[in-house]
Amino acid sequence: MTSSDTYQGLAVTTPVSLMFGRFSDAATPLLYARTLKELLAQSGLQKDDVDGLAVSSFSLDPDPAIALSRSLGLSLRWFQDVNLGGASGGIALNRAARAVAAGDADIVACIAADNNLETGFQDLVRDFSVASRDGVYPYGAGGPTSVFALLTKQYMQETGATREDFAALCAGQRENAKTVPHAVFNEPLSPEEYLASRMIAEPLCLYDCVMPVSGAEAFLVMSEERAQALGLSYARVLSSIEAHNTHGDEASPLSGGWATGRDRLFANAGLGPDDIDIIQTYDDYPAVSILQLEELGFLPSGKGASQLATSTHWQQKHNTSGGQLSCGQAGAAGGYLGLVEAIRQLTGQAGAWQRANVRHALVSGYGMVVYDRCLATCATILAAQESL
Amino acid sequence: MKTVNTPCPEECSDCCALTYPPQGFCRRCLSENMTPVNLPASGNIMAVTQIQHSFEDEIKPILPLTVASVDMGTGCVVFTLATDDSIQAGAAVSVDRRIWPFGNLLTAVKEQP
Repeated sequence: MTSSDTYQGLAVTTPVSLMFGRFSDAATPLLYARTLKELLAQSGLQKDDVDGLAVSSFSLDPDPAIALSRSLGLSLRWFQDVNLGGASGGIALNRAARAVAAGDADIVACIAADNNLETGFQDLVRDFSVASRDGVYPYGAGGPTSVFALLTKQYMQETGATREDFAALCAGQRENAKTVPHAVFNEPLSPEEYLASRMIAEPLCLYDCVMPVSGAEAFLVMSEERAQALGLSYARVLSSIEAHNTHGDEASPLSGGWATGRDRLFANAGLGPDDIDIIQTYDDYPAVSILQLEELGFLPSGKGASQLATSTHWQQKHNTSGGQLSCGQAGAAGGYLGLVEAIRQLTGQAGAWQRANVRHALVSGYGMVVYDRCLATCATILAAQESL
Repeated sequence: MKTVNTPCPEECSDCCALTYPPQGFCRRCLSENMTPVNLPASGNIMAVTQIQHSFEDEIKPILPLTVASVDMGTGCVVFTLATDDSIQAGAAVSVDRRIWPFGNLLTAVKEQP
């Protein structure tokens, strides 16, 4: 059985994005309750119809994730705690789709939600992992931005990428966000403003750094038959890959692992990079997006930054809601944001920022910087319902 | 922020792989025969950043801080502070422990040619 066979007849539907502000002291389970309520309202389902749940959060402590089944009053046949940060969305979808295909669940709600207390992010990064606590955090206590500053600097050294390239990417994404209601930042950002902004960890300035917020992203996975019976617009899963600690023995952190699964990803989808209409990359920092676009074969290796910077075509098709750099980082480090946006675009629900003729979307993720790089990598190709 | 003391790397007695930060077993062969060792005497700077924003109040008064990632050449990459802010990628450095206001931390010093 090929990957594409596995996903036959499966629908991903009901994109939900809820923003609760930069800071919120609402308990995370309450954010889950509001998000589930929204999924049910938009889908016409009853709570008892949901028999599978995938959750992604960094702010549930001291509760284990399964405590949500009790607090939400859900009796489940299938449950997954997919706490993989920026790779959570694609991996939750992959596992939920396989569960529905196997008959382990009929309707899976996939939800990523986090509150953001005023000291929440600081508390998270201070003790994110033993390796980070002992070997990274004491060196300036800059959090993940320190690690990604070094990664970005190395990328610039090896490729000749410039801050002007990153300025163009950030300004372009901000342009994409101007009509997106759940964006935190949707006012214009000029490259000049970017270049004049204060440094956080050189070469990363204020506008390079994603802002943690309180919020949630969610979607439903079910059979196409069920989605049609409910009258829901849906997207289809064509192919999905994940990889973890792929190049762990290499000193350089610049290879994330997408390239090792890229050929399989496209082959299982029966598509190539030129067939993809929109791409959502995980953009906690600009260089991370560029690494994904290069490894996945959309941009030539080492030249992605300059090509992206000079192309309005790329601005139109990449991170169409403005990405995390505009929408903020909510729910397991924003790991669902690109996927929810792709579902929205493929089902024609993006409102004023809807792109025309979106038939195929690729979403990639990158998460869990426990020391000098992220350990979880994923990519998923989705198709519009009518692209059969 | 509590004062920290950077731990020593561990060398595997069975396969000689170095693991840092230490974890009590070898990440290559899973042996538990690990011995604390000093870092190799020198390494090469992979990248350098200047930290201008810190989450910790004790660190804010001494910003900016120069931080480097250093490839110690034995499968071991370490984060270090640097006293010389002109230090650059590719430079050969020695890495030792020095006392900073918030701990005894790895510090990269440029090797003289």
